Amino acid sequence: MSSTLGISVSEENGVSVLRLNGSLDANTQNNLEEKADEVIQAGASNMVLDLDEVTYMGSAGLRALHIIAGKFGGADQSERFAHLKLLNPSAEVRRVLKTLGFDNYIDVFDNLDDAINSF
Amino acid sequence: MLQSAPDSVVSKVADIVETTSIKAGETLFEKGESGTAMYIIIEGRVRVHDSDLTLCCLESGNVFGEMAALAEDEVRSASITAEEDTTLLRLERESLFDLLSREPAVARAIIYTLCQREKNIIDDVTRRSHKVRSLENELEIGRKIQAGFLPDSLPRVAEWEVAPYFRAAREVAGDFYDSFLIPSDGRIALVVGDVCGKGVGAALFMTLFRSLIRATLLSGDLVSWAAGSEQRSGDSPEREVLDSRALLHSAASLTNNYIARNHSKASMFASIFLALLDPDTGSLIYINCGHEAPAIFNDEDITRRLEPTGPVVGMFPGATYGVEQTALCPGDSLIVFTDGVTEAVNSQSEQFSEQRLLNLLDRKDESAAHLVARVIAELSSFTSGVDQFDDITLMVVRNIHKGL
Repeated sequence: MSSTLGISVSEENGVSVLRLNGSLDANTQNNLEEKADEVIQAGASNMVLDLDEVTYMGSAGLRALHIIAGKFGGADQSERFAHLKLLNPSAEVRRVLKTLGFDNYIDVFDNLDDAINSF
Repeated sequence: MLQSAPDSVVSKVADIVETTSIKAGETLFEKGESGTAMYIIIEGRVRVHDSDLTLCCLESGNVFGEMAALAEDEVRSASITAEEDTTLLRLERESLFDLLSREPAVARAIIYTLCQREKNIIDDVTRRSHKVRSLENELEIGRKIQAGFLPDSLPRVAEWEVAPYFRAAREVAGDFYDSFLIPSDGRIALVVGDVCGKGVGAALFMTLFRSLIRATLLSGDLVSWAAGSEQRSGDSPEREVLDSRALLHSAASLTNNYIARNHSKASMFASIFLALLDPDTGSLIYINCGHEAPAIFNDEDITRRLEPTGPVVGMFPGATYGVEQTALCPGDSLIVFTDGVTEAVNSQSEQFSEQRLLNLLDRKDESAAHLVARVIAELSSFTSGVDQFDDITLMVVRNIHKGL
């Protein structure tokens, strides 16, 4: 069972937007972390993950969010998640975020402008 | 290859080869392609690989491609990509066979090269087999030690049944369950957890999560054992309820804060359901830390879902956890499960799903152990022919008091 995750990167108003396409799971978690790392190393200070075309996200995906948020530095949780926002998760991905309690820590938006203006 | 061959032979070889070159990064051929030529490296360096896995690198004087060239219906057994600009001599099968039939010295040189290669391969396989065996031994030790972090036996309490099920996807697991009596409190602890990920990393953290929770819930007893006293406190029942709630809360928040503060770099977390059951009254106080909602059910229906009361453990320092209270009345059962059950897939990649699990629950007069066996049988038949992907854990607790 081999899953794939496509990632395309763009920059909008100084914010790096990573558009994900496919399954964010244990097989693809590293791809996202590596791509995010690349973008952050290149100087990104704020990031939006567009989850519109993410078909599945499990606990490995949430772990990736925590790891990526940590790459921006910051001493406490609110700082940790200040630089990473989510866009357009499916109802099922929202359910996973809520079940695991991530919804209180990471901001989720329905449109890109709101996400970009929130930084 | 032709080191031992006389100059006359070398010059004959030179007559039938053609020089070719590949640029750094260029792939000469891919594994699985058919090919009829062998190559000798004049200058440069190539990588022999299978997708991302590098098997070896070859340099000036080395030969490759001889297997496909010599065996007529062979396909390339590995891919070749230039590490730097490389110049090669290319020798086609027809010319090679022609040369071999005319020049025994060349044939001997090639047989010698192949034998050397075979010897290296055998040495390598032997070395790797020893290494694999030693790693397997290590994993087996790990598996045995980890099994010791699951309870040997469950508390036996009159009029209650507790039936667990646990099956790891690999040798070691990230799931765990626990159940034990807390002597100072008189309640039974029920714990089911799922550490994110699988394998050794998850297993190491499983031992930590499980131990911190157990140690906190038993802290009163551990301290009094240390002091040589096992007396239960004589407080009023209301006072006891408060203590149990505080105890449960401290188990969740201490474990959470400990792991989030001391192991934040690992970004490891666990979803954990933990509860204290009063076997006399059926009262159940619980915290659900980001875990799939357990269900309470009777002969007829699912009567309650125990939704999350806080986030997963180990991720967010200072997180708050709500302590909820419910009850298991006579005839009621509680089922706690991990997503290894609901997300198990069949050969069509369909998930077993929570709905399928819940549909199996309301049977009359079935023991907890029977129910667990029936659910696992259904799950096994559903996933038949597919490798188990995630750890699978279930716990069913049933109140078998006769109704009032």
